[in-house]
Amino acid sequence: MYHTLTWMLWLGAALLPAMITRNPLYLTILLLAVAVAYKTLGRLSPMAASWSIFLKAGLLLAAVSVLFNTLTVNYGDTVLFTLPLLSLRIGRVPLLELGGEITLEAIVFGLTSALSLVAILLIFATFNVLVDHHRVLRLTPAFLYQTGMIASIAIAFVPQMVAALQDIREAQAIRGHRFRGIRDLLPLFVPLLTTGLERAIQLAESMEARGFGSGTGDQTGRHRTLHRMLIAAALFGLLVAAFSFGYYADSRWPSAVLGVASIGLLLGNVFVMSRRVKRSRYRRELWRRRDTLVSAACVASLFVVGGFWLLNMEALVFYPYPKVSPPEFNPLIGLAMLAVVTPVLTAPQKRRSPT
Amino acid sequence: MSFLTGRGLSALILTLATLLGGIAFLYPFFVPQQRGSAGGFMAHAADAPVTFLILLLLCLVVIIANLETRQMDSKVVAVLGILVAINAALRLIPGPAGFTAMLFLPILCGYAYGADFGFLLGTLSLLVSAVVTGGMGPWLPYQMFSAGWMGMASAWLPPLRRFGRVEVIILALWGAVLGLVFGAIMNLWFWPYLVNVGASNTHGQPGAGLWATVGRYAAFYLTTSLWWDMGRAIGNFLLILLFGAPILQLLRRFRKRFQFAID
Repeated sequence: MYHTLTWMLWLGAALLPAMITRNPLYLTILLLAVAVAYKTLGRLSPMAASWSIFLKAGLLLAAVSVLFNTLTVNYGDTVLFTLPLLSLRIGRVPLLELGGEITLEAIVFGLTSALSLVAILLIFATFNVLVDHHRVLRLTPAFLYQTGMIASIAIAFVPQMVAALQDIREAQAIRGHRFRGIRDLLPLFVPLLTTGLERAIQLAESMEARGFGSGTGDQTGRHRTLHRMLIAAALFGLLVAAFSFGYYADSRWPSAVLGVASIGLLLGNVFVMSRRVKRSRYRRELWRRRDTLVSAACVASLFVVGGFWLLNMEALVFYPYPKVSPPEFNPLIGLAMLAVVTPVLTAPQKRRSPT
Repeated sequence: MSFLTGRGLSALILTLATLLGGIAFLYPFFVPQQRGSAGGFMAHAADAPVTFLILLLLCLVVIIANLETRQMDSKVVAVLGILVAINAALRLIPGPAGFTAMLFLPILCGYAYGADFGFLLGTLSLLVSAVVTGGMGPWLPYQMFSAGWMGMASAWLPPLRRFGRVEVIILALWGAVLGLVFGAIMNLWFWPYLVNVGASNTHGQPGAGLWATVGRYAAFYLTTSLWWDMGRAIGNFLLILLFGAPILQLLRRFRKRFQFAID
């Protein structure tokens, strides 16, 4: 329905606020917007059934989050009531304390975390239901072509392997094999592995016959070494940034700059390395006008949320401790949350008809 | 200089990326234990999950890129592809609790064919399985990383072949331990959503920070996740104990046929 790149941008625009803000107002707007997209667009997909089970599991996890916070955190000013304290200690170090003072702050914190978790799961449910996974895999950087090739071989062979398993099971059933316990899996496993590896030999031979590995290694050794040295330097920079980020929590700017610069160096390397690999495409995806619209909305949303993240993080943070207070609301951020609903608005009419 | 160009550089990149990945996994335990007046620190704790998810993705790309700087043999590509397919198919076998039949093959292959092979098999199996079943989520980079680590770590076991039958028993125990470890580190992606990471010494005992966090995690793990992970650990143990010997024999026979050049 949309270009894969559009869906990736949509995922970014939805996921970034869901992961960095705990403000219940923004999260509620986001959750409702994603739910609209899921309900209107995702319901037609065959995968929706398996994801609805998953979402129920997510609700359970969210409930655990609320309960765990309520019972183990006794911090906060608004004490609702007091339960008997169950304490578990090793020596003098308290390992876990259950019960005690139940505070409103802990409940609120648990609820906002649960909201964030449910939003993340719903975003991924929508993404998985609507996107074509094989096309997502095609977005792997070009210089990883060997891994990409392994992954495509595997994807092509999964149905064959499932069919082979079925064949083996039938062949063994004719010989009187019955499945009674885990031990009876052996007559299924070993033939499966053997046929698989035999097929791998055939595949390798046919790949050799078609000239695999003869002309793609177009990087000279010196370039490669330079790239790898730069990558090592970028990783080292990231490591230093991560540590200094933790140590100097008061002044996080220098380490943030170092981290961003290292990531830039890393991505630049990846880009240059990918440019060196020539890749041809058989079929290109269509980029339609609605893709432009949705992408523009998502980029704008990313821009707003990312800008607040870097410049004014406090506008996004909601922290109930030590005393809970109503969350702030910035209309601009609230509007940015609505970007994820644009795929519904620009979707072709006939597909949107309710079934 | 020559040290920095060949295997030394490769090992350096792998070590750095693994360290970074480790930080990304373990940051909930190391967020500074101070409650700032406002803003700064709390903001830092709030954006940590997304920062470290990005970091983890980058590390995965770097490690995989590092593994494939050499031109791979067509046989390695074919065998890896097919084994990944088999492993993804094995994931579809249902089982009790956290049981999954997809971890024992990376362990055995990592042990028999080496660290690179084990890492790629573990990582790509999870990726392909997610693509085939449509199960991509924030947990996917964590799963890929931990399954890859399992395959890689299995290659570090000393050669046990001379011990005969004991080899399989040791591998089975190793698989059981890895099954539990897999569960323990896979909980970490949603751990920041369960507790208030960073402000954990809320009982007013300064200095109890790290241990209090670890303790709460241990308590959470023992009460909820362990029973689930037990299914996986016992499953790994039984699968390797019962099938380890014939599968290892098979893998070694094919290794001779392929003349593997991977190391």
